[in-house]
Amino acid sequence: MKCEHCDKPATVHVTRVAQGKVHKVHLCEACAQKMGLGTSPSSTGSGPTVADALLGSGGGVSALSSHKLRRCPGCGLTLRGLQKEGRLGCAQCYEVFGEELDRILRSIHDATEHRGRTPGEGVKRQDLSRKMDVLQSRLTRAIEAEAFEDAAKIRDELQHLQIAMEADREASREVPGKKEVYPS
Amino acid sequence: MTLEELLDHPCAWFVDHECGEVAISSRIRLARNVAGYPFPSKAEPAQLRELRGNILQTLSELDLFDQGWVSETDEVSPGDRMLLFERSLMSREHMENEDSGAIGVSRDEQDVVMVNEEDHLRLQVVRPGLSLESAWEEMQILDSLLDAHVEYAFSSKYGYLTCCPSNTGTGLRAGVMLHLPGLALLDEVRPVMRGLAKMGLAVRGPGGEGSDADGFLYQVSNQVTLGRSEQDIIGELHQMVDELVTHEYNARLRLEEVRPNGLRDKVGRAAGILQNAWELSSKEALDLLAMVRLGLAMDLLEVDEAHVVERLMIEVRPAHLQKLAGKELNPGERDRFRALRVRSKLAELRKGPKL
Repeated sequence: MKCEHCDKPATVHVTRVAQGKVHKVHLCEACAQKMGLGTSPSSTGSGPTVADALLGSGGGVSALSSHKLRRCPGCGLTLRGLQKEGRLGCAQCYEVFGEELDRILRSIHDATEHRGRTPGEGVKRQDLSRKMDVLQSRLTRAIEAEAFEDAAKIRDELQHLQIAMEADREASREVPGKKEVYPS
Repeated sequence: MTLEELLDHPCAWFVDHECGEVAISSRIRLARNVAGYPFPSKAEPAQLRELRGNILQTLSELDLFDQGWVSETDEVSPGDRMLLFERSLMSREHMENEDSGAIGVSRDEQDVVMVNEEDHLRLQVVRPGLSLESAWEEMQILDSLLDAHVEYAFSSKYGYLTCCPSNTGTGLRAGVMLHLPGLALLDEVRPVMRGLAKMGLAVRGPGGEGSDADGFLYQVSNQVTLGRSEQDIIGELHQMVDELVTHEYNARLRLEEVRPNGLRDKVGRAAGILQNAWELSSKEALDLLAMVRLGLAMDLLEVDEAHVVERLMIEVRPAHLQKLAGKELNPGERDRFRALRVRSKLAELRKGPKL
């Protein structure tokens, strides 16, 4: 197979995914280097190279090149863009760059999976009622111990919690009817 | 409600709070994106404007914001944007997004929605004092209200999808603003900061990343947003802040033990300068007011109206001063007007017990 840019034999085979379509490009080593697609760490100068990114993966030439050219079909962000900016461009990037992202997320959060609130979830009512129980028993103890200043504070907290629970109940009833959820 | 009316109230940090507390305010922020649109950095201006229109429509249908103040960023003058920044209602990045930014603020300034910041939505709830749990309860309601109108970008593996991986998951940043003059005067803030960093917490000035700590004000917040529940993140922060508050009180006691006259001298001089100066820079005013606030908290000054001092800590900032003056002031004019404002406010105090 010949290089698409000159007539030398093609040794670099690139698979590019753009806008959901797969394109194959065949290049000789020299043309590949010109396009910044060299296969050795020294071949593309000082910037991060494909080989750097995949160091130790043992992938073939075409795997290396396709990796480097991976581009999010949703927003056009490339792997290099992600590595340079450290930011994602759209929700789809999370699927496209999953592997690299897991590495980044692990280094920041020491985790790769979400544990917490999910859409469609209101105030965690169970949590609130559990908290109310705790406060109620603290209030009883404070009154028994005649610590009235503490008791007043706990009572305030309880009142606030009650308002939050009522608002939540309203919210789950009213939404998406919107109004009245916040009485001013 | 107009911006002027909004600003007539004391800022959310200082509503119904106990004066002089170490923990000044608690803030919960959620980063959210809307499904179907690229994040702001990659979206076309037209897409962002369309999204802004939808969100503004939603906000106008919510009583919370309908009775507050909602505006597109480019309709707010640069001076007023600075003012919102000084009150922690707008981030620095958001001030600059004239193209597609918008903001909604509740009447009491405790609930804020920023549109097309780094993410499509940044929700913020601020409460006075150390009240992370109640701020979180409020935030869940705010989040649910918006969730009912827009579809959030969410994955079951990664949680809420954000532009920066440092926010992925819960999208939660919980922070407490602390007044730490005791630790600062003993030169112990730095080691404490290092300790907190090891626990995965960040400490910075109140204006966010890179801002310095004028007035001995520091913000402590979580760094980890993924792999832990919101309750766990908030609970741990609360615990660490409790410890930090104890450290601060101990530092104040040590200051009084080791240098009783030195401390009184510093507080007294601060009050003296504030009551008599004719030119005050923003930093000098904030540092001196912080000293007076410390004196009030430690009963070294006899003044009933500590809230006047706290309100001044906001009012002496450049954009607030210019709003009060009703015109633009150059830095020299600002320094003179600031000194005048502080003198006249503290003169009112002098009628009471001697400052």
